[in-house]
Amino acid sequence: MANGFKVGEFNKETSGVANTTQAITGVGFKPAAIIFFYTHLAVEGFTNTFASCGTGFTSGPSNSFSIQGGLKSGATVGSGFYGRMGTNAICFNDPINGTQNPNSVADLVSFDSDGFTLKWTTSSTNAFKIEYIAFANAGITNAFVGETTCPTTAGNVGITGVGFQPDIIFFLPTQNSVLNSGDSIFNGSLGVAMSSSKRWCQAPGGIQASMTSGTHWKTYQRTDACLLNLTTSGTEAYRADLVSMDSDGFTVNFITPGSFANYYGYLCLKGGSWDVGSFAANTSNTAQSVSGLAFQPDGAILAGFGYAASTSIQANGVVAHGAFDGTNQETNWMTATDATSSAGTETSFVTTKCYREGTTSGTVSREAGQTSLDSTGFTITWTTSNATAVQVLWVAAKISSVATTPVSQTAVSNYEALGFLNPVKISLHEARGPALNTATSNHEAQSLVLIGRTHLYEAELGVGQARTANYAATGLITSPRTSNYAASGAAIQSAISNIEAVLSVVQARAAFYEAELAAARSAISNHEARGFAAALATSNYEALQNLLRTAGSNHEAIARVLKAASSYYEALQSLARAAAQNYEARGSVAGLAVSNHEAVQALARAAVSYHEALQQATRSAGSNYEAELGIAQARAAYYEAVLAVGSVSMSRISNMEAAGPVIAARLANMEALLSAAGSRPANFEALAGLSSARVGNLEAVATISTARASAHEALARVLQARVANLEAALGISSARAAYYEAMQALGSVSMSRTAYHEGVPLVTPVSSSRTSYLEAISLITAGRPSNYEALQALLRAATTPVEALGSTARAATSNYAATLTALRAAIARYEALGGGTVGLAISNYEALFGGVSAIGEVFLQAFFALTLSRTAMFARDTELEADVARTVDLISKFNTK
Amino acid sequence: MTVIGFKAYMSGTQVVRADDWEHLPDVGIQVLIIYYAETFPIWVGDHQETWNYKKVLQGFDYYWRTPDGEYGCSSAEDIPEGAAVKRTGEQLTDAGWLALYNRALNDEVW
Repeated sequence: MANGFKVGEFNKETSGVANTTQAITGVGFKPAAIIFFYTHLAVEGFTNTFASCGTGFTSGPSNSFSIQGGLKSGATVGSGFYGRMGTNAICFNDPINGTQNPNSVADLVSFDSDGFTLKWTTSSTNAFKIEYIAFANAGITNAFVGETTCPTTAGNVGITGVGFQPDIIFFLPTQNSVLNSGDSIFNGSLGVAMSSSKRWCQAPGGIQASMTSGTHWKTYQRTDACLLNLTTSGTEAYRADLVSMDSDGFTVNFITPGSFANYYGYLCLKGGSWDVGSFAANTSNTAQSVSGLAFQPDGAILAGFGYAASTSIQANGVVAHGAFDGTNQETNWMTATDATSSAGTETSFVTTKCYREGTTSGTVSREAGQTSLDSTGFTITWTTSNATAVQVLWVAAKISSVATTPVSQTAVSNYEALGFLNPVKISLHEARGPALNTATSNHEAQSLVLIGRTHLYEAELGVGQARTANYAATGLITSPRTSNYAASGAAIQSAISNIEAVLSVVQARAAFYEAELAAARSAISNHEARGFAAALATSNYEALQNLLRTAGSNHEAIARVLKAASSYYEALQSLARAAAQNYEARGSVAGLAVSNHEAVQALARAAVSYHEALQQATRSAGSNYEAELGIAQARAAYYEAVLAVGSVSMSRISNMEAAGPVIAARLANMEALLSAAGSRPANFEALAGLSSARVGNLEAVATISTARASAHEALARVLQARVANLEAALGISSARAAYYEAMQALGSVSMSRTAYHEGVPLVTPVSSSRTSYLEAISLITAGRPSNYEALQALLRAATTPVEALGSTARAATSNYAATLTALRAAIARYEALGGGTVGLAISNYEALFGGVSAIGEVFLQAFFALTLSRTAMFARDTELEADVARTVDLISKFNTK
Repeated sequence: MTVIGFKAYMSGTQVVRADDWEHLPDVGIQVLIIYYAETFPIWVGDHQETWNYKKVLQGFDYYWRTPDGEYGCSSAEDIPEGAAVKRTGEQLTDAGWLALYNRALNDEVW
């Protein structure tokens, strides 16, 4: 038994002892509810001694309702009709014995694992056959049987106390207004409802007529009502339609209210899959299928009244009930004759068919057996038919017999879960909304700050560019020949223009992506609004999907912004490198002149400012390593330019070294003159020439002194240059260290990009970034030897000027020695000339004294020594005493001056 | 509820439609339908319709309206005091009466 819809039958126990229990087994599962159908027959076949039918509901102990109607054959006015209803699972009146007393009444004791147990509170020895339809507890989540009375005024009536919202309700309308009683009326109605459009009800009515002399036997069946019954006049007693299934019951609309508050019972079920409908029976013995169901049923219940579809009350109808579950099938029916003084009756049941109608003559007029339970319905096959396409009502069910949730219930549970999940999601989205708004405000504020910084950096960039232009102009003025500066200036301007262009492009891209972000945020807000609206329906998923898509677009936009920023930084790096190369080139050109170097220094400083501005601008975008690289390179160029200044000092020293041979040549000239004068001591012209030579010697000495002073100055400058060179070297080293740090940082950038690429697989390959990183490391390694080499060159350059100064000093010393030798030679020549030439010589010395006034103390000492020597030589000549005295006087005067 | 009119199904095939009690025939009424202004939706077949509530009176010899506006039908001894009364006509056969009754039963429109 795979399904939870079981059709079975059993015979009532026959002890006749009250409160006898009867256990029914073989159901195959523990039921949650049972519908009983029964007649007064004990075995299959027909009887014409009475007509009877009964129906009972139970959903547990003390939770039952049942009806029963009976009509004894030959009943006449005032006798033969018996009806009963009450809160029992099964009840039989006693048409057999012609009384209204209950024949047998059973209550449910328990639902058992393989069936159920009944207790016959009123029992008899009659073994009536009882058919049942059991619904499995595993598939039915809630079951409730109740009873109430119909209203006497039209309108809606809400039934509460059920405890759950039913999926389907079976009804048992009665003509009794007293609970648990019998009367001379007939109760045989059955109704069902799933919704206000899926419901039906049948209402046989037998009464002991007071209006006519005959027996009234009417049947009434409608598919636009769920509660229906007939009056004792054979007219509509009340009629109601289902309005709604409510959380604690249901609401019905009494289209026709009762004249009396007659009871009706109801079986409410929740769980399983159900459908309700009707069809017009085939008029030939053919298979007939019902399709269009949303599930494959486990079984079906059939009912009919022997007429084609009609909303009219019919005479001489039947009451037919049947059921099948794919394995078992049962059916019973009854009929009576209307408007006769002595009613003809017939009742039968059979367990080999699922539907049967018959006549009061004990013949079958229509009969069908189950054929199949189909994927979307079921099929029966008519084995007996007639020309009337009778209306057959049906209820189909799929009920699991194991503890699994039925498909429909799963769907309902899913939807209910969605109902809870969706508000949670909505709350999350609502919470995210303010958060996103805050984030947006933050980003907008950050954007404003960045824009302000950008303006600031642009201004700094402009200043740097102006400085560069100024310095470039200075370089041009200072050294018109070095047209390289103009080229460099143009290159810088071009680079600036390029960077400005790149910045504009990147800013435009950033604005574009920001616009995309804003659009994405707007879309998010829209979808949040949709999510709100969709909270009332399952379309929340669509909204959620759209939200996710929008979030994806947002991330894609962010990825594009990051990619653009990376391109921007890469462009900045390339530009900075190009600028550094330009500066290095200019450093080489600057070696031509000091002023040029100064201009280059200024240019380098301007470039530094420019790179600093670039650095700031880049930092505002999130990465300044490229700009720092440019700054480091510019600083290196600057220090290299400073190094070139040292070369200028070396040039000056060379000039001074060149002055040495000139002096020597002059001395040689003077020596030649002295030689000429020596050949003709009496020649005044020679004396004059000698004086001139001495003067020249003095001038040479002065020149040497000047050169010596210049050499000291040059030495000072060389020392300064050396210091500057060392500082430059230090600066270059520091700059290169900064450069390497920048390169390392660039490596970090590459690693960051690697991480970025790993996070965003569809952008630049990861290996490319890693290669960039390794290349950066390689450049750092290659740059270190160059740095040391530069330091060594600097030291050598600083040493060379010092060595040159040493050579200069040595040359100056030689010049002094040569001068002294020349002076001594001149004195010797002078002494050789004799006293006649003394006066002229004195005059010459006086002239010499006037020229010597600007000479240093060393020269004076030499001259004084010369004078003393001359005095000693002329002391023997008395004629020269006066001259000596005059000379002494002259010396005295000289000293005085 | 508010009465908007009446339909009297007479002994023959005649149906008298009246918006006032006084305009109904005094004799020969087999079935009397009272229509109310209040309506309700109902699914009929595959579509929804709006029907007026109605009350079908039949089965006794006298139809009446009390001074305070209540309507009913009963045997002579049960007629309320002071009620305005209409009478049933001839007794029909079961089949004839059932046909007439079913017409009235399914006459949903005032």
